[in-house]
Amino acid sequence: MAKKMLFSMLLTGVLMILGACGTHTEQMLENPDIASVPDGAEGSATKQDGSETSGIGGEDGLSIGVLDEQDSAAGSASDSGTASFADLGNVIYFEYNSSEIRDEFLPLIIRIAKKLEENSTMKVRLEGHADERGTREYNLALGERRAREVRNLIILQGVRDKQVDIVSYGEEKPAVTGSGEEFWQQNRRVELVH
Amino acid sequence: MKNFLKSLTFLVLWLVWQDVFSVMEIEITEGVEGAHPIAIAAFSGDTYIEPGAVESIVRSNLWRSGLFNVLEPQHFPQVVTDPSRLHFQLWREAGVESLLIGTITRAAEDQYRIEFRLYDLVRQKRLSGHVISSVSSKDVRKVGHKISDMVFESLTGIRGSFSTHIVYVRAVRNSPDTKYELRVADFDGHNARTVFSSATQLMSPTWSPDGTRLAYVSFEGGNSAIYVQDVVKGTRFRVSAQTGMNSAPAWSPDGRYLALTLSIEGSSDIYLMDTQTRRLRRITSGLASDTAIDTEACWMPDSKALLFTSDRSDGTQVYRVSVRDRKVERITFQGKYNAAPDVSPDGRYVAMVHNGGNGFRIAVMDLKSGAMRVLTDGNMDEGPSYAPNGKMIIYATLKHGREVLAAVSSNGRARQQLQAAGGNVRAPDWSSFHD
Repeated sequence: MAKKMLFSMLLTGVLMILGACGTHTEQMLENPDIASVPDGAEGSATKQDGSETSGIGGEDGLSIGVLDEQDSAAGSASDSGTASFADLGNVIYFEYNSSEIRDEFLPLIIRIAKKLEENSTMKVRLEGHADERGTREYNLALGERRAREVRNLIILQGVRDKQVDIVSYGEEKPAVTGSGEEFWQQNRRVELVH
Repeated sequence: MKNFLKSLTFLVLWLVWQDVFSVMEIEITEGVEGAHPIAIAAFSGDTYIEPGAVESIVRSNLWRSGLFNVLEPQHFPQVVTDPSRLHFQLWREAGVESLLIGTITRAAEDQYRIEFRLYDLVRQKRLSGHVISSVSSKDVRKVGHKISDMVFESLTGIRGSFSTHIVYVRAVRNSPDTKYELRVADFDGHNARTVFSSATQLMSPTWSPDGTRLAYVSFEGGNSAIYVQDVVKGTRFRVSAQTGMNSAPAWSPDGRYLALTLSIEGSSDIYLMDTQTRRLRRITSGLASDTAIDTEACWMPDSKALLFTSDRSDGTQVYRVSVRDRKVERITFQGKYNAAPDVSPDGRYVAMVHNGGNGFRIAVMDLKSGAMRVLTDGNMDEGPSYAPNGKMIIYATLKHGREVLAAVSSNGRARQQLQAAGGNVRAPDWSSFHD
């Protein structure tokens, strides 16, 4: 447990640093392709996420390990813990052929973990997906690894194994159909299904 | 104005014609050098069945193999109906070395007899003569493929694979739902029939070596699971539904084992399943620290090793693992993405999806020398599968945004999109020889 706490604190620290350099997130928000996602799933995820990080980022000059900041971040995380689960946003996006969790999605994952930890009977499924580039079988494995990376991070926050299931659909269930980065970036994702 | 309308009509007709016929067009990407020059004469009496049906199948098949240069009938130096009037000198001057002549006669109601003779125009002699009796009009394609096999074998010494079959997945969108079908067809896409249909995704169909069963991935239970289906009886069994992913089945050459990709121990690894005992044995590394993807296993013909795709280092590459001691060796070094290996039946070459910076294309690598050759020019080509004689490779490609199947000769010379009726068609696997 002590280990998990430590990790949680470390992660929160990472969030702080992230917040301090919020430009990346803002660029994402301004991306017209993302803003026009029809079902709103991606839009809301990005927005939720973006507003959160830019909020912290607004406090200029934040540096690593300032304890006050950690407290405020933890506070905001537990705030969202009391909100409805759907409000958290439910999609995590990835770079091409990568299953590394991008910094801007750490707050979202922490909030999901928090929510699950507080409701130990709650179960979620993480659905991993890939864009159409590369072979179908490789992409099935890539989607699986993306979902597993997100799951590992959630479990590390103290969530019980049984609460998080994963499934991969590879490139078989794209969020949007079309070729080109504006489509691909919306398809490289892990969706949280409650 | 009248003239303009006339030429416009002509243009429209021409475009329609182009559209109709482009489907069956065979693209010859290289010169005729090294290709065997042959002529296939019109089969006399073919009006009984369907004019030109049999010989056009033979012509297309020989073109597709990349080993023949088939003379178009309008360039024939002589109209041949009677073999006794064959003017050898004229044909040799036209550069033709072999000639196929056929005759169709009616024996009874919808019962035909087809005779065909193959001539060596250089040595001025008959190489072979055969007769197929009791042919009904619905057997035309089967007979065309059989004749192609015989001509191919007598001129190249290599068994023809024109009578073998393919399996593939077809996705038919019927908004808002999509229907997924497992389809079995002649190698050229004709005579397709659905052997399994599902509302959820189907992937990775593969023939058992004896051609009686198919293994494939279905999501019907919500997660990926592997099923084996008897093609003749239609019975099906779920053989793997482990926690995590169940993917990329590959039959061992003796049909006893299935190589699978599972993630039961965390990362994506290759396992062998004994289909009789269902016992599993892990073949690729499952170290706790290992997060690499290992998938898309393919057996070497001697059963001693498997090729597979892995992203363990330096991009996505093809590796070989020994079944006995699980020793791994990297085999591809060109480009950042090499995946989905399929070994040629003689074990000398490996076809794969290769991205050297210009898109995902089908390439063939000589396993001995390591020399790589790109055979296709698409952006999203995938799923290569060798014909059982190793002379052609079937694969999936995009044509005007639609997923279709295409075949390329292993020497890269001839390429053709296959016949397919609607929907998105993908994941082809070519059967072994089976009688």
